[in-house]
Amino acid sequence: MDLNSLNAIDLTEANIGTFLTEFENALASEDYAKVKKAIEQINTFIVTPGVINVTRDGNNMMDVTSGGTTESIDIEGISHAITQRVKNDYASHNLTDATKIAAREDAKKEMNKFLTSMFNQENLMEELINRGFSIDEFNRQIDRLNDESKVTIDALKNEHEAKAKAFDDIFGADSKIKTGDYLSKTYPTRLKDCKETITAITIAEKEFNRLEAAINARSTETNPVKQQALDNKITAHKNNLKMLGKKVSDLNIRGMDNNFFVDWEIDTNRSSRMTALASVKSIAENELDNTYDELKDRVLKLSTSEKNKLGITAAIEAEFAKVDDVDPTIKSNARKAVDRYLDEKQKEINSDIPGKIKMEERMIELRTENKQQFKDMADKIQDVKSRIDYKKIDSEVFLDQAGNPVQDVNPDGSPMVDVNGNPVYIRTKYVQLIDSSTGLPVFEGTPPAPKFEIDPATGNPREVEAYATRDKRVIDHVTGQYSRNPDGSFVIEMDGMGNPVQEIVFDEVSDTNVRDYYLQKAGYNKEQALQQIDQLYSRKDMRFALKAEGIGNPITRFFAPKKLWQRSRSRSNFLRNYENGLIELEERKEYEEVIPMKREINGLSRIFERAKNSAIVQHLLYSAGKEQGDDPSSIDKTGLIDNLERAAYEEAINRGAHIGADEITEIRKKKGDTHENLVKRHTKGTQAPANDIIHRDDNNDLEL
Amino acid sequence: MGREVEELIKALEKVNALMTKENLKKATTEELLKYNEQINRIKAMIIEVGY
Repeated sequence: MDLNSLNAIDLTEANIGTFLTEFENALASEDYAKVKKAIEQINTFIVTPGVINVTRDGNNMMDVTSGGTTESIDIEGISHAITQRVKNDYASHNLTDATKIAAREDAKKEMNKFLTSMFNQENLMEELINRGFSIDEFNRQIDRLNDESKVTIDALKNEHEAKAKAFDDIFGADSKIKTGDYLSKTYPTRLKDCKETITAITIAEKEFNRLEAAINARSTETNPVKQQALDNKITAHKNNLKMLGKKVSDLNIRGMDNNFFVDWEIDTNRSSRMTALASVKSIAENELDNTYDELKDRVLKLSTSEKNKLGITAAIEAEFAKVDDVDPTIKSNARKAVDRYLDEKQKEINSDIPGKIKMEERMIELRTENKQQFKDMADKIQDVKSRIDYKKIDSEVFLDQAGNPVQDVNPDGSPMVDVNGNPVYIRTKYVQLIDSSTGLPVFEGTPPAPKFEIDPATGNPREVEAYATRDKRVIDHVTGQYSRNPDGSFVIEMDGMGNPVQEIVFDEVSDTNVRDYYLQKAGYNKEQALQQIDQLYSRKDMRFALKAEGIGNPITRFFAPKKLWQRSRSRSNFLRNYENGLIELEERKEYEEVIPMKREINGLSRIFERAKNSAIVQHLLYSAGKEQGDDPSSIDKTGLIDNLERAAYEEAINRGAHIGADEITEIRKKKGDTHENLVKRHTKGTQAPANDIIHRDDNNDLEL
Repeated sequence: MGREVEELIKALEKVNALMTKENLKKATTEELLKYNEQINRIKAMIIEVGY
């Protein structure tokens, strides 16, 4: 397989391992052009309009056609796997070649396109396009914002230059030559180097002592094993000293003879060096004091304008003045304050302002990408529109559901005609969409033709013509939608006697959707059910579940768990079980029982606490009330809630939870039912599990 | 960095909540363009943190 020309087959499950190995090899060998090409191609798979998205096991798969075959590939998983590898490359693979660094940045820019799927930015663009926002207008917006960003960047660059210059003028500039030696140092660097030297020498003192001790012990040791161990220790300490010595001489402290540290650990030098350590350390300590003093002199001599440029307030100046105070506490605190000021200033110059500049540059990049995305979306919508026939009857006469024009009426109710006696038809303010398969206009809520209902006798689907009738709904000829009363109910057409006109209702029963038929009968609302489970999970719970399922990567899970949650198996499992539960409900006409909504993570008490308050339960309460003759106060609410609890326990049993004997007895006593019957009714006849020790979590909730 | 991340997450949640088709229909065109800019900004921050 060649990363430079990928085919769909290269990204299938069978071959993905090979692909990722090749990808890793390209990263390791720093062939970033190849890496970029691979990402580019994967991006084209993602953004090509018309590619079908299907979901399998909670992952978004894509049917991708390339290289002569159409394959279903796990585009999400691949994107995340690639992201991880590039990220690791940045973290662990240091580049020095400027060309390669630039090439890696290029590859990274390609990856930015993955982020589009994290947000519904396509929805936003689609809405703009549907409102008639043109590509040119969008591009103009983008250009205007980019120009503003460029102005900001220029201002920031000027600010950076000014501040950096002001800092260098006052506090000196670090300049190193190629060998790594300092030609000159800033005051902050000098202070830091002095402190490091003092620390290094302090550690060296200890190392010398340990080395001496080891050598002395070795000289009298007879056991060969222990001799070897001591030899190792001696070598280790000498290596430490060598490293420390090199570090200090690299720091190049003013007034220090760096030859002191060369070979200071070897036997011939050791003794004299150890003796001299204290005085060498005091050279560094003196230099530290000198540097603070020089700094103080420098700052106190600054003009007001210079102080303003550097943000040196009166308070900070006062601290500078105290860096050589006789009182050690005051001196120490002043020096800390000065260090803090210098750190903040350097951070502002070296990372804050450059960070803002980078941010604006990135915004320009992303906005420019938006242009292409917008154009792609506009092309896609245009493509879809061109496949629907816009039946333009001359002067846009409104067509009803049967495809016939509708004659307008006068205020007195009589049919409207023109001066020649021809009917005057209602005109629309919009163009109606015609469904090309039926030739009829498309209205919101148009019922599809019926195909099946369930034969109650056999439980099998059977074909029917019509199912039931209902009050006829009025269609608004201006919007093409069903007319609604202020309270949201449908406007009903009345006959001359003031009775509602009836129309045939086509139930949505088909040979592929028998289950949905039951769900509809049971008052199932998928959106509500999904909303319920989404509310039950906190973002933290979602991240936990997503991580367990291997969905997303740490970044996407951290920032957008709710977005990834759409793909979670826990969520789709809940929905499936809930739907199955509702079907059983309908079959047994036991409206007062509800399957609990959440199982995986939290305790039972939390489960039915939430289930109690859910919209579904309220709806079922209402339905149960209707069953009992439209009197909601006649519902046995306590019984309903008890049933909820019972159902929650049963589901827990169903899932193999450990529930103790006490719990079971409680339920039994409450319901006057046997445990076996409870379980049998809701677990399709499996054996009741043995009573085990109760497992409770930290909140003392039953653990599932 | 902790505080920035918190704010980033809040912004992300808010924006994602707005991005349903129904909600988008209710927004003015000016608001839509503002949202687009917000999303870009959040993406830019995510890129910074991620890489």
